[in-house]
Amino acid sequence: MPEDSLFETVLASTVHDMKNSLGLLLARLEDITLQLEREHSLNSPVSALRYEAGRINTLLMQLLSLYKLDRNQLTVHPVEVDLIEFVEDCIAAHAAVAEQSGIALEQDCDEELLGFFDPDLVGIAINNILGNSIRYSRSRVLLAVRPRDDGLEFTVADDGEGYPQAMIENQGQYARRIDSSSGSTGLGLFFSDTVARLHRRGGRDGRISLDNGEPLGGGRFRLSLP
Amino acid sequence: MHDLLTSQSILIIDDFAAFRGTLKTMLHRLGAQQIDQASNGSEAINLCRQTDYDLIFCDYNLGEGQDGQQILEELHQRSIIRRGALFLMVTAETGSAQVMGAIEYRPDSYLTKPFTGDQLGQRLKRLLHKNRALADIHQAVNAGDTERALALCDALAERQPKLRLSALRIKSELLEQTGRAEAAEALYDSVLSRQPLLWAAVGKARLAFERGDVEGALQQFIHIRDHYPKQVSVLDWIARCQQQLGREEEAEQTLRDALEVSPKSLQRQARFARLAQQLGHDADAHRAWARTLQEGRFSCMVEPAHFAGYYRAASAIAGELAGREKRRLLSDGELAFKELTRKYRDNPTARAGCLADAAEFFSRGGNRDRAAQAVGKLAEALQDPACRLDEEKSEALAAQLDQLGDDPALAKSVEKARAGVSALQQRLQQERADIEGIADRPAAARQVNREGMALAKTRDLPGALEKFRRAVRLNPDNPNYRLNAAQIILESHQLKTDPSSIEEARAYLARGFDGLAPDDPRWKRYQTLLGRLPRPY
Repeated sequence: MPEDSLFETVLASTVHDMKNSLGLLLARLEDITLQLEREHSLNSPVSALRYEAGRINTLLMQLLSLYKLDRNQLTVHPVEVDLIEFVEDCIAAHAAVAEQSGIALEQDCDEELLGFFDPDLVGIAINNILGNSIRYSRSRVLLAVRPRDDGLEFTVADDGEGYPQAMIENQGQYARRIDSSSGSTGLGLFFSDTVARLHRRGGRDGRISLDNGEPLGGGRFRLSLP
Repeated sequence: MHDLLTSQSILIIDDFAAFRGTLKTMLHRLGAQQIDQASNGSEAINLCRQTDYDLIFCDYNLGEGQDGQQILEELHQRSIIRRGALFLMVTAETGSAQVMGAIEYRPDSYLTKPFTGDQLGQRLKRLLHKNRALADIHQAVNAGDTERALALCDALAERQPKLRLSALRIKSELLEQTGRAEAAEALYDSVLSRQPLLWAAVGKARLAFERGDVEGALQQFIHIRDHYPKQVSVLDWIARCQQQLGREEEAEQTLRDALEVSPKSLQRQARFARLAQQLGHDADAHRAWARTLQEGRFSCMVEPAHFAGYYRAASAIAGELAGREKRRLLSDGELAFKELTRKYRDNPTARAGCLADAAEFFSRGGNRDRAAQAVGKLAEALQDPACRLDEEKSEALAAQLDQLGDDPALAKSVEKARAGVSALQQRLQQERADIEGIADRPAAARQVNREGMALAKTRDLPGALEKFRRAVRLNPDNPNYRLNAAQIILESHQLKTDPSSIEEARAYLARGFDGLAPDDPRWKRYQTLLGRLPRPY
C-alpha cells in the first residue's frame, strides 16, 4: 500500500472513531443537561461543553473533507433533499445552544421545496456558519432557503455587528484569510466556498457571498447552488 | 411526540453497542417503550420475522456481513417488512450510502451520526406525522384493495400538497404492479414536467424498457445518469439495456464502473461474472463469481447457478495457474463445496444444479477424491423424488456426465449419477403420462385442488404445493389453481426466498388472468400476489 493512501486510511478511520466518541460524549452531555434541568439548576457550563463538542465534530468533518479536496478525492454526491428536513436538522443541531444563549433561531423554508445537492457537505458548511452566527448575534439568527434561478439560495443572517468590512471587501480570497488569529471563521468560509464551487451544474458553479444589513440588521451569509 | 412513539415497536441495528445504548436512551426520552436491538443483519432479520416493527434504525456500515442497504433489500425481498413501516438509515460519514441501493428500496430517511436528541425528535415527528397521513393508503395496499388505495392516493395528493409527491409515488407503484402502464407513464410525465425527480425518471425509462423500446430506454437512462452521476442502479439499467441490444462489451464496462462504486451487491457481481464469462474474460469472471459467493454467505440471494458459474470459471483458468496460485484456487473451490453442501442440504434441485460443475473443476484440478465425492452427491440428489430439474436441464446434465465419465477414476460414481438422471427423466415422463391417461382432466384437477386445500389448512405447505402443481398441469387454464400454487410459494418463508420457486410462482401468475372482471375477488388476490413477487433483475 503506498504511503499516501495508508495515511488516508488511517486518517479516515481515526476520524470515524473520533466521531463515534464524540457522538457518545454529546449524548452524555445531553443526559447531564436534562438531569440538571430536572434539578432546577442552571446549566450554562454544560451548554458550553455541548457547543464545543458539536464544533469539534463539524471541524473534524471539515478537516477530512479538506484533506480529500487537497488530494483531489473530494467528490460530491448530489441527491434529492427535502429542504424542510435539512433546515430543521440544522436548526435542531443548534437549538440547545441557542436557547441557552438567549438567541431565537428562526427558519424560513417552503415545506414542499426539494433540492438536488450533497446534504452532508452543504450541512457541514451551513452548520459551521450557523454556529458562528449564534456566537456573534445579539438576539436572533435566521436560516432561510429559497429557490433561485433554477437553483437554491441558503441564507444565514443575524442581528449582531455584522462581518468586518475587510472580509466583505476581500470576498473570494478565503484561503488567504485562514490564520491562527482569526479563529475558524476564515476556515468555515473557505470550506463553504469550496463546497459551493464543487456543486457544478449546467455550466454554472455554486458561490457564497457576504454582506451586512438585510434582513436582520447584522451579517448575512449566502450560499447559492446552481 | 410522546404519544406518537409510545405505541411503536422499534428495532435498532448497529454493531456498536455503545451507540445502540445511546440511541435507546434518546428514544426512551422521546416516549418510546418497546425497543429491541440487533448487532448484525441476520439477527435483525430474525427479529423482524418475529416482530412486526413500526420503526427500524439501521446503521449503514455494520462491519463484516451485510450492510444497511442489503438488510433493507432483503427485508423487502422476503416481504418481512410491512408497507408503512419506517426504515431510517444511520450513516457515519459524508458519503455514498445514498447512491448505492436500488431506487425501489430507499430508506424513509437518512440520519448522519452524531445527532442530538433534538435532531432525532424533530426528524421523527415529521416522519410519523407523514406516516399517519399515509396510514389509510398503506392499510388498503396491505389488504390487497388496490382500487381503494389508488383513490386514497388521489384524495391525499389533492388535500395535502405537502404529501402530494409521496402519494403520487405510491400511486405509480400500484399502477405498475397492476399492469396499467399507460396510466403510470402519464403520471411520471406529469411529475417530471414540474421537477426532474429520480424515481419518476427511472419509472418512465423502465416502462419504455418493459414495452420493448430498449433503445429508447437506454437513451433515457443515459440522460438520467448524466443528471444523477454514480447512482448505481441507473448504471445497472444501462448495462441491462446494452446487453439486450447485443452490446455485451459496453454492458461489461458499464457493470465494471458500477462495481467500482458499489462492489457489495451479489446480483451485480453475478451479472458481471456471467457477461465476462460469455466474452471469454475468464479471470475477471472467476474473480466476480468468487465475490458473488463471498457476499452470498450473508444473503438469501445466492443461487445454485452462481456456484455452477464459479466452478466453470475456475475450471477455465485452472490450466493456466501453477504453484501457490493453483493451490489457492483449489482450496477456494473446497470452501465453496462446503458452502454449497451446507446451504443446499435440504434442496436436491439446487444441489443437482451445481454439483456437476464442481466435479468437473475438481477433476481438472487433480483432486480426484473430491471429484468422485461431488458426483456421488449429485447421484444422491438426482435420486431424491423432490428433485425437480426440467427436461432441458436434465439433458444438459446427461451430456456433462458423459464428459466426466472420460475420467476413469470417476467411472463408478458417474454410472450412479447417470442412473439418477434416468430416474429423474422417468419421473418427468410419468408426470406427463399421468395426465395424458386421464379422460376428464378438469374433474381430476378439481379433486386434486380440493386435496391441496385440505393440506394447506393443516399447514403442510410442501404437500399442498405438490397437489396444486398437479392441478395446474391437469387444467392450465383455470386461474384458481395457479393462484393457489403461487400463494403457497409466496407464503412459505422457505420457498419465497428460493429463486427457482420464485420463478415458478412468477410463471403461475404470468397467464390465465386476462378473463377476470375487476370486481371478481380472484382479481384482487391475483393483484396482491403480483405485488408480493420481488421485481425481476
